[in-house]
Amino acid sequence: MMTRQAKYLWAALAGSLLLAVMGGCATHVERMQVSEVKDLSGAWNDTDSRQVSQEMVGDVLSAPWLANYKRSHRAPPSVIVGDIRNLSHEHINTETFIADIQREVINSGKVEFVASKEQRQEIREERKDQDINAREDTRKAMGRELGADFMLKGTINTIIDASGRTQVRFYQVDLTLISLVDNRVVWVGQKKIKKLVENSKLRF
Amino acid sequence: MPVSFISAFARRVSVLMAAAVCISMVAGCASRQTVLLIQRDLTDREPQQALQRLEKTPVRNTDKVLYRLNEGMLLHLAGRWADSNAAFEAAQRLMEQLAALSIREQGTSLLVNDYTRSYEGEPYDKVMLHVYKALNYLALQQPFDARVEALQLDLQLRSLAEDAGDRDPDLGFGRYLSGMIYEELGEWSDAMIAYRKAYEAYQNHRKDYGVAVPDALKKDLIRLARKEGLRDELEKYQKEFAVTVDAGPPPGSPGSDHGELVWVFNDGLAPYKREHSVFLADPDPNKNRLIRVSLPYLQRRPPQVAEARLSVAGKTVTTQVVEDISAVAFADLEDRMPAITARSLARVIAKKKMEDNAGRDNPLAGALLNVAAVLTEEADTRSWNTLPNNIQLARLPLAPGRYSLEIELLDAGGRVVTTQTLSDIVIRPERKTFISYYWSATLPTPLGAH
Repeated sequence: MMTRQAKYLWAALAGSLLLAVMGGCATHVERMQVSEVKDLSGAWNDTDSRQVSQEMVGDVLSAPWLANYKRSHRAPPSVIVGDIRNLSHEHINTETFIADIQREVINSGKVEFVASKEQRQEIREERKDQDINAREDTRKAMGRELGADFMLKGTINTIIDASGRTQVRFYQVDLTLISLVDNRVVWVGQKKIKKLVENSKLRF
Repeated sequence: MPVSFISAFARRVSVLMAAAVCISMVAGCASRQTVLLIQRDLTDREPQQALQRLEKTPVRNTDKVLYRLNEGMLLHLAGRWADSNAAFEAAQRLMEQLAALSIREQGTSLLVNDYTRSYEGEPYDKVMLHVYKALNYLALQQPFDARVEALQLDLQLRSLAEDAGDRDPDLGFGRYLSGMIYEELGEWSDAMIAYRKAYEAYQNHRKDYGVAVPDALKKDLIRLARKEGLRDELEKYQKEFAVTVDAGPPPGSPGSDHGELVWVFNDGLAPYKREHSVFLADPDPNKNRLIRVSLPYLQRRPPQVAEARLSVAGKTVTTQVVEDISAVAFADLEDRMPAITARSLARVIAKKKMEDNAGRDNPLAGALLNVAAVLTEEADTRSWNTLPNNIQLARLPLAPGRYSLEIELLDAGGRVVTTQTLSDIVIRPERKTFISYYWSATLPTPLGAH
């Protein structure tokens, strides 16, 4: 025989179970500002990428190399993005923040960028194709490419110190701008990010 | 109130158990069948078919990590390296989430069985995950991504060593592979450190797993000690190892006019877990009921092939075992057996207590609960069983070019089991060409032997 109390208990249990199930079923979506900081796992994320690119852009555009070049050449320098090596503990997509940097720098009008190796290859093929198929007045000649004056190279490094479920993650992004004429390093940019990640010891 | 509450609780538990009975009976039986069918597919060298079979088997919520590990391994064997890494990446993320202790799962595992706990990966699963991810990236010719795995492996080994008891989780091969990755990238001091750690690991585990320091590693140590100008260390290695090493930069690394073939051989299949069940009558003569205790054991799958002989461009080299996964699995289970047994016995006592309480109120409920308790008592037989039995390695410096590779697979008596040819192997200057090969055939085991 079920007592009254037990009946109430069952009803309450069933009710809460139903709520839990329904709550679990509905997908919850919330729109976020792109600039909003949301750290989930402590790994490299969009915020880090954005912070690095912003800092680097501000730095590279205000450094003396740019003014020096303009004074001597009377034209904006052209830059090519070289190898950005990921030497960190994570599979970091370096392309996103390089694209960010490139966009900001190009839009500032102070620096020109030359297409990357792969892009150039594709464009050359297109030019070759134009040579045969395009109308003569629209045909683009070969051998008129813009040679870069500087190459942007860099590395991402991490140092991770861990004990139990707690980690200190230290990221360091170094970018170097090297003159293609004489291998001079004209600018070095650096951004450091440090995070303390404490993983929960318990879960449901 | 207390009595009725307990009986309500007991009823709830019995419903839960009845559900668990249905699921576990079906799943338990299906899982062993799946293991054997996948073994057959792999023996036939049909990893794609094994994959389809795996995808068709229902996956419990608590087995997601295991599913991803097996999926990743089968995709690796099928040569779908990017997909394999996606699966391993998913497994790794789940493992990280599961590293936190679940109070709910701990509780239900004491009431029902160990299957209600999420499979979070054995220590060596966590190591092998990075090894195979690195091999995938190397096959994709992304050495910098492989380097990321080497760093993660280092982090993982340090974290495992923190909470491992006497048994060091560093098994050697992970470190050795890391060393080769650094070497290919020209990072000599990191390579030297990794080789040194691999050497220490092989020495430490020689007694436990019977894997000797591979000859190739001895050569690497001498070559890099010489290159780095570590005179004392070089002398020590030269005295210790009876191997001859050519002067010059390591083959397949910056500055060398040679490339190198690194052939990784996944031999056989790892042992899988089965269960032993013992049924006892309750020692209390007034109580007419059954007690079941179930414990896991490992089913050995001895590999058909003992070693492989490679011939390419007039050179011949024989593989050496660099990691004995089977031995590690046995040692690991042996270490954990006391805890598994203790938990199993605690469960028997907890279930008896519940049956007593339910039986006082309602004899039928008590009897039903006993049936459920006996049926649900199951040993946890989950393990990453698509791993090979052991991993072997052969390294061969070669001039740049296109080669065809003759592989002779030999049994324990040195007889040729089969001959295979791999063609169109490209060796590039200053680079290593990593090839992961497998032969899963196992020797038949007599019935009941394990």
